[in-house]
Amino acid sequence: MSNAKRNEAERLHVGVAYRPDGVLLITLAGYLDAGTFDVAEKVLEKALDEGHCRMIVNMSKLTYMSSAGVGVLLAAINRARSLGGEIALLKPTPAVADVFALIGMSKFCKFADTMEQAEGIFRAHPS
Amino acid sequence: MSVERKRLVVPRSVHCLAKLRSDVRRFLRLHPMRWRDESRVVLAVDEAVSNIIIHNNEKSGLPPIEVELRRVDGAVEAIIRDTGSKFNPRKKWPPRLTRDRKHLGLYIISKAADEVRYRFIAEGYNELTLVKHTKKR
Repeated sequence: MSNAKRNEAERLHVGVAYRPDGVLLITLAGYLDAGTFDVAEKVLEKALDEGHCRMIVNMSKLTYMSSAGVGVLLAAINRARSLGGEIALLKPTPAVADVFALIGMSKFCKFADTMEQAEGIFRAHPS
Repeated sequence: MSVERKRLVVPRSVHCLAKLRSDVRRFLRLHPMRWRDESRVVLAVDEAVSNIIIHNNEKSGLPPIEVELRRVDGAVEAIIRDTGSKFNPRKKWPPRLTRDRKHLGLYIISKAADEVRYRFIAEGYNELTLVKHTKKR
């Protein structure tokens, strides 16, 4: 891996936690752009391949997102829904929320300001 | 009318985007502006340069991308110059969120910038100008 690529990988951190209720918690921190989106894409695709179609994506530490990141999330949301699931987007930072608003995703996606709200999305739509 | 300028030279690699955003932000913060305006200028420049790197990199040995930032009275301009294929930055259709991921970047540029101007210069240069008005008109 080149130094530049290694630096970029360090700028996006992806955490995965398996919750007792079966909802997968994925945490994105750092930048989600054209240089890092593939890291998040692999994690989300792997989770969906394993049958995890109910996920909470914690975006509270994601400081920047471009269209590359939006594309990854859109693909994952559409695939999760096709499997009867849902992806809740937890607490996007103001800069990231502004990107969602620019594209008109505010009504398309399920957003939550708190973990309790995110959990409520899955109580309302059990698999 | 005073004009402040900064010229950035960006290697054609997606792994240089974080530094580009940092440099653009540093220029914008010389004169504080609304965070949303700053955020949208950074986003529009990042999208434009990403688009060039991803879609206009078919020939090896192309020179780096040039980004010129200008602060003019009541506005910030980002002029992005590169050598490569002609493209149409004015595709403004809303993306079909349930179907595809194509053209999201161009759509974001059209929404994040207040004006988008494009010239294909005879010598084979693309010049894309993004304008953000920083004063309410």
